[in-house]
Amino acid sequence: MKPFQYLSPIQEFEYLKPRTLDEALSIVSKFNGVAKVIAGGTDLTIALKELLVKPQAVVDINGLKEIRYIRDDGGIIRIGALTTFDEIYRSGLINKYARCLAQAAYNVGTWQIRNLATLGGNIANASPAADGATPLISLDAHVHIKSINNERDVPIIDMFLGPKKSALNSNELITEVYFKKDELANCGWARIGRRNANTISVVNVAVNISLADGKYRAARIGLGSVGPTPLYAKKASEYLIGKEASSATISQAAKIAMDESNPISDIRGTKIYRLSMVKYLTEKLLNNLTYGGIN
Amino acid sequence: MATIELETKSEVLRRIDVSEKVAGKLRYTTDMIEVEALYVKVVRSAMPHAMIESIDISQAKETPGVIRVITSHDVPGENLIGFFTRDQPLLAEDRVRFIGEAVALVVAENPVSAMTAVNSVKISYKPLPAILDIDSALSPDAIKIHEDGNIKESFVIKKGNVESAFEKSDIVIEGRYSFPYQEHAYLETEACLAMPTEGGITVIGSMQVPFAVERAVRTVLGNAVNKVRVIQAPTGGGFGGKEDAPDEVCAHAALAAYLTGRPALLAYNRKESIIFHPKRHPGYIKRKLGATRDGILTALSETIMLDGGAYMSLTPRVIFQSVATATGPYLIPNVDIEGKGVYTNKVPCGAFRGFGKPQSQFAAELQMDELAKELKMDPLELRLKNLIKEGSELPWGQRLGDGIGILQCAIRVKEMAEWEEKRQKYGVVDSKGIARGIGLALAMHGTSIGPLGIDVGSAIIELDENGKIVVKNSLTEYGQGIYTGWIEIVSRALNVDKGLIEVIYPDTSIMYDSGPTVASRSTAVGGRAIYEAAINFKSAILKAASQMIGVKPHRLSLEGDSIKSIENPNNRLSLKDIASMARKNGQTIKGEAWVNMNQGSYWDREKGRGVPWKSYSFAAHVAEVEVDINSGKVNVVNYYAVHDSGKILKRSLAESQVYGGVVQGLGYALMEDLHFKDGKLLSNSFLDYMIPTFADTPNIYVDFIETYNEDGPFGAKGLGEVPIEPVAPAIANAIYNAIGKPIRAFPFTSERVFSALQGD
Repeated sequence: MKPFQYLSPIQEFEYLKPRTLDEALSIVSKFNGVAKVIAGGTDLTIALKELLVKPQAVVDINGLKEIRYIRDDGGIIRIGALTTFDEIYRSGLINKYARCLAQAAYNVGTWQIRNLATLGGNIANASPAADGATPLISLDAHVHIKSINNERDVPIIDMFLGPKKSALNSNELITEVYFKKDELANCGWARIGRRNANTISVVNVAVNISLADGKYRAARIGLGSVGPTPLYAKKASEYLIGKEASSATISQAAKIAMDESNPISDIRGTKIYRLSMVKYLTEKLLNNLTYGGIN
Repeated sequence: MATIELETKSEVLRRIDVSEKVAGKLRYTTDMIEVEALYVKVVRSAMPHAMIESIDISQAKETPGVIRVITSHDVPGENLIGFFTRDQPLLAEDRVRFIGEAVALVVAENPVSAMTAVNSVKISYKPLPAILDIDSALSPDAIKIHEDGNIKESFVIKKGNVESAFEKSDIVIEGRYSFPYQEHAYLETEACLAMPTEGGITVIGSMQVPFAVERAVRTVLGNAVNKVRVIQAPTGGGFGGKEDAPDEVCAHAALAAYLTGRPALLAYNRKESIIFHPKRHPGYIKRKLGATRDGILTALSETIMLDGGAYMSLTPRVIFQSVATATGPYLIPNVDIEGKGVYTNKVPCGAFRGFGKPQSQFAAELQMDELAKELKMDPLELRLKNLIKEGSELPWGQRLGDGIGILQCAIRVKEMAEWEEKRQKYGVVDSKGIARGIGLALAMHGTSIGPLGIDVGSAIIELDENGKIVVKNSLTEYGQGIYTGWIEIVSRALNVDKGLIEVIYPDTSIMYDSGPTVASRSTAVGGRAIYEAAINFKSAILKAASQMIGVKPHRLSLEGDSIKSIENPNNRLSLKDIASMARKNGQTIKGEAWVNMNQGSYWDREKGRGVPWKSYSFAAHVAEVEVDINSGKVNVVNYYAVHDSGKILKRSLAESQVYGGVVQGLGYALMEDLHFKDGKLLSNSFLDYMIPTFADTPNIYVDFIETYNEDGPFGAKGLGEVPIEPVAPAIANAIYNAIGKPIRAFPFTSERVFSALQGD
């Protein structure tokens, strides 16, 4: 008897721990949707305890070292799906070329959660508030997905179909996230939370820009917690490209980003507050990235 | 009482319970794994207000692993619980009054079976109109939640003539102030293990008041059992939340154990805990304060409305405390204060650290700053002009004696916080959009229960056969460090080594009822009883040793680990030797004491006059904030707290109480609240119920002003509650200073402050 389990009992299921990616892919293919994949387990364990999911099997992919890495592949930064947020936050490469992702990684949950939670899991879980999603949108990242006899590359924004609904099929695994290394780009991430640490974002924003001759050569803005999925602020991003950097331009881009977002009111914040904060954070990040300073 | 040298500031905190807790070795209720217990789960109401037409347990009973499904028909005694007023069914019979109310129990061999069966109990309801806020409850055509109507309790205090005083006042400030729920969020959720014994039941659980649990179990089991024994297990936090909630939890476990004849464990996960246990009362206050142009207060008219939820819980006493300290520590010649607690179809509200005062002090202290602004006067100066002092008469006619340290607290906190310099400098927005502010609040809190309840304490101190001095007191340790404090008292009173003193966990079969562990009374009342029992123990052991050593008692001295002759120190016996000789002689060496704190206090309800408390603790707090005016985000950066809780027995423990109170108050001020939709509690986990983390915690600077309290052990007064009381208003006033306008409702979430800045 284990009273510890009593407070949140876990139902019985088959536990499988593949040692290679191929083995893992054949297992998920075989179970055809009645298995759940566990990586860090920071989302799945809660669902299991509350009997919200009742899988026949749980496939533990933590043994797949082949998809746990961060590397510079000559012009492309590649992050294995099993890489934890703690590893991302500590990576020199990420801090140099994708600071927004390092900032977001540092703000995911607590130390304990960051030690377990993986980037692949954060994408697969498809929360509209996922802190890892907005930086990847601003970096124009792609997701590499494999199944037993297929593989495909999906732009990060197309991974999110709805609240907690991703484009990943039940016979597939995310193996990698990658994006182009841009020496001229500069990105930042910021959020509004209900406290200073370990909190779900009320709004989070990532902005990635590169400047040439005082003009925006490239710009991408990602918005979180302001729609059914993480959003790419397409109009605001495109508005900036080719424009001379100025306070007026920045302010206008922030307003367009606000108009592109579509938040709901819930117990974490109202629609009207979220809209105001999209504008404020976008403007603040653009100012900081354009003119320097702290964000 | 004796005075002794105070602990020096440099002494290292050494709580006797700390190493077991840090090492994870202390066994809480759910760690008692050697008992093969059945698992109990509660089936709860899904409706805020409804008649129950039927409860179908047939499918639940058939679930594999289920031993029994229990409904109200199975209760052998009275199907009622309630701390003062038994108004809540142990298991709902024909009506439910909030979502989460217990309707049935499932007892199973394993937890998954229990959970599965809970979901298959079918309850058919006939909905009634649900009353979800105070004003709807008071509407004349509102449905009555209980037979007597929707008002639980009211108290009134009147003095002088407010009407004519307002007419003569130069300035009158009027406002409506509102405040949120607060959840206790103790680390350990509720748990109870009940075991059938020959003709009785033994209950072990997480609780603040073992004798209340014993009464609850006796009530519901009635004549079915003879012997009820309640043992407090190590308890991971209470803050008032485990004052009455364990009555229900343990009565459910005991019922399951009685009906199955097997040990039964009932433990809640976080969601269950948040859904059912009583909270801090939300509500509002309408307040009108008059003053002269010189800043002398003239009149106060105030109505306090507390939302008490579906059952009585501790509401009557809470509302009394709100009313009794509505003025704050200020002299106001004319007052008309009324407080009401009302029933609504939501989770009951009851005891929570501060007990009605955080609400009324918020309104009182914010309004003082509004008045100061109107008068163009420094808020501290305004307070000092009106402060109570030795000899002042309180609104209920009580004349204050000695030991009123509020003025010294205010002066000390002003120095610590560099109040004047910062107040000059703050209140402007810098280039980054940050506005700094500094705010102040004072508080007063009566020590112990007062005349509305039985306020007696008791203790037994005895020598066990190994020469250990065993302390028995039914007041409970649930995180305060009270055992460390008691050992300090016994060691000082007897002049013996601390290592020889042992405090044992409460067990109703071997102790007297020392009253509830509430109302900042563990040191002041429990400690006093222990001190007196120690003095009686000293007489007893000296008398026994006198016969053994052959020297008259008054020529003997107790010191360290032995008793020796004063004339001939070599003529000595260790406590161990005395214990084994006593054992052979068939002798008991023991001291007992009862202290009655009701003596000298009274309350006349009709007239609203009396002596509700004999001594008062005081506090003066200052908060310094930074407000991001673009997002409304408030960061508390520095916090200063000065307290008068009489003589401080253990400085390090006292400081810990203040740190904890400040952080809990900071959560209350900035982020904590419960959200409901159609009566359903949405903030039912720590994902959505925010409490502060270290990243939200400011630098906290603490100091004490040590007055002397005649009634307390070595001059001590209560300290447990007062640290939370000035926090929300101090932060409110700091925000007011930063942004230039008062916000009369909290928590001060970013969104609320942002809206205020936008002018909503």
